[in-house]
Amino acid sequence: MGIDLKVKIGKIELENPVMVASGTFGYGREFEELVDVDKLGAIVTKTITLNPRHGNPPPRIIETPSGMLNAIGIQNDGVDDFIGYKVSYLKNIKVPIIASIAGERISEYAEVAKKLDGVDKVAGIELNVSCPNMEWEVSGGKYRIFAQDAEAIKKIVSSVKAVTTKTIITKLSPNVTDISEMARAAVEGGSDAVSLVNTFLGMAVDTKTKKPKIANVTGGLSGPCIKPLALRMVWEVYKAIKVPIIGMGGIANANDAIEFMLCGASAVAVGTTNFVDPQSSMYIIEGIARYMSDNKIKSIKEVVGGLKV
Amino acid sequence: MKQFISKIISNERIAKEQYSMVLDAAGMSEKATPGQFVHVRCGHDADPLLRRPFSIYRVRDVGGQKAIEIIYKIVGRGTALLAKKRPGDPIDVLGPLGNGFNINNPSITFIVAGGIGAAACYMLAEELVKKKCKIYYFFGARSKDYVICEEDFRALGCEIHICTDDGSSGHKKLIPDHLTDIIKEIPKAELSTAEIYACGPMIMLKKTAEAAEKAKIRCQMSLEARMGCGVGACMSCVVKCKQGDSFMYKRVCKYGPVLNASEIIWE
Repeated sequence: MGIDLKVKIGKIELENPVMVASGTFGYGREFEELVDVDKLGAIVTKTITLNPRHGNPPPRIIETPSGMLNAIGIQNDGVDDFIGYKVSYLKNIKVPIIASIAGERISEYAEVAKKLDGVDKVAGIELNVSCPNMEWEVSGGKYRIFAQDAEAIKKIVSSVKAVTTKTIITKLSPNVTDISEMARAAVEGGSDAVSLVNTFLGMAVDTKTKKPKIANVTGGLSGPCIKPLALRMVWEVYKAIKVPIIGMGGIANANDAIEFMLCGASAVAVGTTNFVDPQSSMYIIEGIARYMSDNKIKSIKEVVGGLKV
Repeated sequence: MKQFISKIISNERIAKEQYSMVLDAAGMSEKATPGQFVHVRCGHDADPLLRRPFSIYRVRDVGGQKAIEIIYKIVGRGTALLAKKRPGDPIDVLGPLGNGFNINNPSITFIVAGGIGAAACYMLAEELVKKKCKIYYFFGARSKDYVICEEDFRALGCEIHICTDDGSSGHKKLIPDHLTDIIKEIPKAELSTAEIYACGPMIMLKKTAEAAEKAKIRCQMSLEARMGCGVGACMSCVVKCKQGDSFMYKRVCKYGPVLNASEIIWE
């Protein structure tokens, strides 16, 4: 029986629904000796900003039960370096590349997107409005995370939509009271898809030194410990909007991925698990295909939103 | 670098809280160089989640098979699990990773190892022996119960200097101080092509860097950091380094783990 794993996110055709999440796979090249990257559904790059960023001071990472906290602070070499150097490697990769971008101000998103619009290899743009490790200016000297402000999300998406024809994905934060409201704002702004969830804000403390274990004090929690929380949010958003959802949050195996798809995700992204086992995305793709053939499912689209309630 | 399932050949306690594990390295794609490390999965499910990095202590031949030895100390849940593993158990290994020591043509060399930091220095010493360098080996630990690998370095022909915090073995002195004292005894002319290599706790490295700067001797150090991916993707394991007039957070796993002491910004 032929199995159809193809999915479509905006204008992007994916051979299978398994992507690798932003910040966990570098710019692809880091994993070239470990993973057959051409078998992935898509690669989402580490977040790129207009100007280079130093990132946060170390320690930036600490393991927690079944998870980890991080506060990297979007260290990156900036969009010009990405276009000038990193893209040349990505051109050899056959699968779609989605560039994750962020801005320190709302206007920067469109500036970065405009620069990327001319890069053929970039199939889509993921708007990282939800990195929890810093607070960015919303308007008039007011600082908060864009992802916690529906107006800011709508503004960012529509400003990017105005400068690019590429597929736009908005990455949502779980650190909100009502994530479906934020998803609707993204869709109203013109987002072709949404991805969720980014990390949950958390802390860890060293009781001996009484210091936080992360220099930034707070960090983003990821890994298998967040999966039930993420699943609930995907289900909420699925009921609220019509555009495709890319589900993520603690996916470690094919069963986890299928849970997300049953809750409404059209595609999934593997994040922290890339650190644990770089091959995991490959096993997840194989496992999804096996689940489909075992259950006589012809197209992966039949799985999406199939939750029986 | 390659990810492979290795088999544990032996796993033995060598000193207080410290173990030696020999692993089948037939699956390792390339030859490990001094100062490189492997990233090891200590458990097999979600907890503890992340891999742990370990210096490659040495590459050995066990019954015609390529094997690597790592030396580790129990510091948390991951290493505690590792200590429970038995010969024959499979173990998921990623490596060899990182950039190791840059071995020039030094005349005299000083290896400064603090505690488990000795694990990064044996292959280096082997390489320096091949180059016919004079090797002074400084090892520091809390007490005699924590002294490791002394005989291995002695067998290579290194001049051994042990320091302990309580004086129960060797000198009751900090190793960077002892290093400074020994350097003073050597004629300046002989030091012009000397080199210092260090691995150990941050405070020891900082003091060693200061000693090296004072003595005007080039110094490389292998750093330890909490890591995520181990391959340069996650940017978790950074160390603050000089970059022109500014600074840059460099990835220990990719740019290091060995860096020139002169580029590190100590805080």
